[in-house]
Amino acid sequence: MRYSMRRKSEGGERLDLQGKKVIAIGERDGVQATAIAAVARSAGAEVLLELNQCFV
Amino acid sequence: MILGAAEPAYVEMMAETVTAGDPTYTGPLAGVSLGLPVYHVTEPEVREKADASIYQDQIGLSEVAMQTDDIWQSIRKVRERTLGS
Amino acid sequence: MTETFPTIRGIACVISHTPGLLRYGSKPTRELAREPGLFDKMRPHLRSFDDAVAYGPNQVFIGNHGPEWLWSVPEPWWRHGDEGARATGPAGRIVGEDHFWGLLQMADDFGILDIDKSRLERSRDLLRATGLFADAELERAVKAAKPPASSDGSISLNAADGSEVGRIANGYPGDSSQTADILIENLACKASGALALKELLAQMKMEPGEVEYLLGCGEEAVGDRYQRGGGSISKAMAEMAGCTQATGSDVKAFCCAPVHALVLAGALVQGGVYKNVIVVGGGSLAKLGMKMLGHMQKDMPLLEDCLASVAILVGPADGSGVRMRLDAVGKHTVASGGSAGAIYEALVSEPLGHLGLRIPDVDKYAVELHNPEITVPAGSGNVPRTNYRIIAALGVQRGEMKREEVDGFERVHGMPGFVPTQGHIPAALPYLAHALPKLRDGSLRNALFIAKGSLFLGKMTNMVDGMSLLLDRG
Repeated sequence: MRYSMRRKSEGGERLDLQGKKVIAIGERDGVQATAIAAVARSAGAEVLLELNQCFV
Repeated sequence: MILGAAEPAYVEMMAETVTAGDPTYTGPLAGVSLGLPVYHVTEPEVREKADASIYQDQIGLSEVAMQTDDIWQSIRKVRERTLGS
Repeated sequence: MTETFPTIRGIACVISHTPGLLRYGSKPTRELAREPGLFDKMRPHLRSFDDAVAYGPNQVFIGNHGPEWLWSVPEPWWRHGDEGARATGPAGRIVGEDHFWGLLQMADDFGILDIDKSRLERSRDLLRATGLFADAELERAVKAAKPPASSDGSISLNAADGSEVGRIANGYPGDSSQTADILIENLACKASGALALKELLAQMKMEPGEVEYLLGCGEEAVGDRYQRGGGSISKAMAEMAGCTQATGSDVKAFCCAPVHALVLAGALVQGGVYKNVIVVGGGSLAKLGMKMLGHMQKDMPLLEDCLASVAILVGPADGSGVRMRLDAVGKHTVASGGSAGAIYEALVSEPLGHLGLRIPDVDKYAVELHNPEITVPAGSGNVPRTNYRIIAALGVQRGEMKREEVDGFERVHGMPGFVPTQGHIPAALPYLAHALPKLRDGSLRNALFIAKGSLFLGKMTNMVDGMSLLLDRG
């Protein structure tokens, strides 16, 4: 099991979130929807829906 | 669709559900192919388009805690199979 | 701020192994509605009582081993039962479904249940052998308080082997908040919570009449059509356990409620309102079999066959030296924000900062201690491990720890998850069974108890909640 401790730079050019409509599905013990939505908005996306899940 | 779950196996199942259809055939998306482009919030495709300080504030800590390599591998596999990208 | 703080005097942790009730969990109920033949496929995956007793995490829960002992048990834990396992431990006990039918009967004041007499007599005898119940109480296990209610809308209750045990009726015709399936959830919660209360009173050698107030921290919605979730199952548990001088109320905050309740209990004691306050959490029947599809797919036993319950006694400083640091309660506020960083700053670094502590200064962190052997096979991840990694990452970000220490943080400052996936029950507090003796003898300096609640599940907000409380030695 390997955990990433640093940013990686490959592959970032294929998706352009500018003007895209986004659904953010977060998780309580992962990244929550509000955090995903903030990131998506900062990339120019419109967030249509924020939902969270809990597995326990 | 952008996901934030921490568990690679779950990310894979969720990605499959919103692209090809529910692989467990237990929910409303059983047999329904939405074909939505699906990414994990930690993937470079999302991160590099986001404002760096907002990303660091919102995701930075989670990113350290998650097995991002495994998550990326799981979700890319699904995208390649179902969306051809 | 006063210099003395209230203390936690004891905790009882009880498991009721109820494989026959597993089918009434939310997930099994929904799956069985889709595929009635599924039960025949489930049955070979149900565990025996002996297997549930020997299961390592259950032995940890009742205090026969420390959580760290699980690191020495080969995986899968369910294949490597503890050869020295006992159904009783320093923190509590494990009872079987043969005990539990009688406990359910004792919990029923309304003739909702109609259970086979011979089953109840066997239960009474088993419950007598625990030494926790008086004769008059044991009679309640065999004698219905009221004649059985109408069978309209009733559902059958079955033992693990499939045999019918009896029936449970609806509470009120047409009341969708008192259907038979809801009432069995609530009775199971009341019965298991009252059993934990009994266990705690015995452990503390305390008369039931000494208990003054109870705070329920479970998630069951007890009420009727006009006040669904009206609450106070804590007072019902108090009555069943003979705490005649107590009243109670329920604290609701999803899985976060136990830490809220503990803080409130401490405040009631600190404020001089009461001396003996108990936080009680009954078992969650709805969560039985929650991950069953994953377990069956992996050809595992259905490990979510246990109702877990806890009762915790809070009182004034008693010379043990264990202090509830009410001067540094961690809370996730409306303004805190939903990122992991914001949540853990609110729950960890802010309260520690008040006390001049850094993250590595806390000996042990008790997070949501869900047993990973239950969650990982179902694709739900290792909840405690994720939490430990985030706390460690926060330590690195704050310059309090080295990056190389992140991987080892769980081993040094954490523990493996050992608690059944019973919602509020895994929320940090079962570690009290292990922490209290060590805090008293000085082998543990302090421990931070952290719980989070998924408020968003109720569709009233997209927020989570979180509370934390530090225990240390004075």
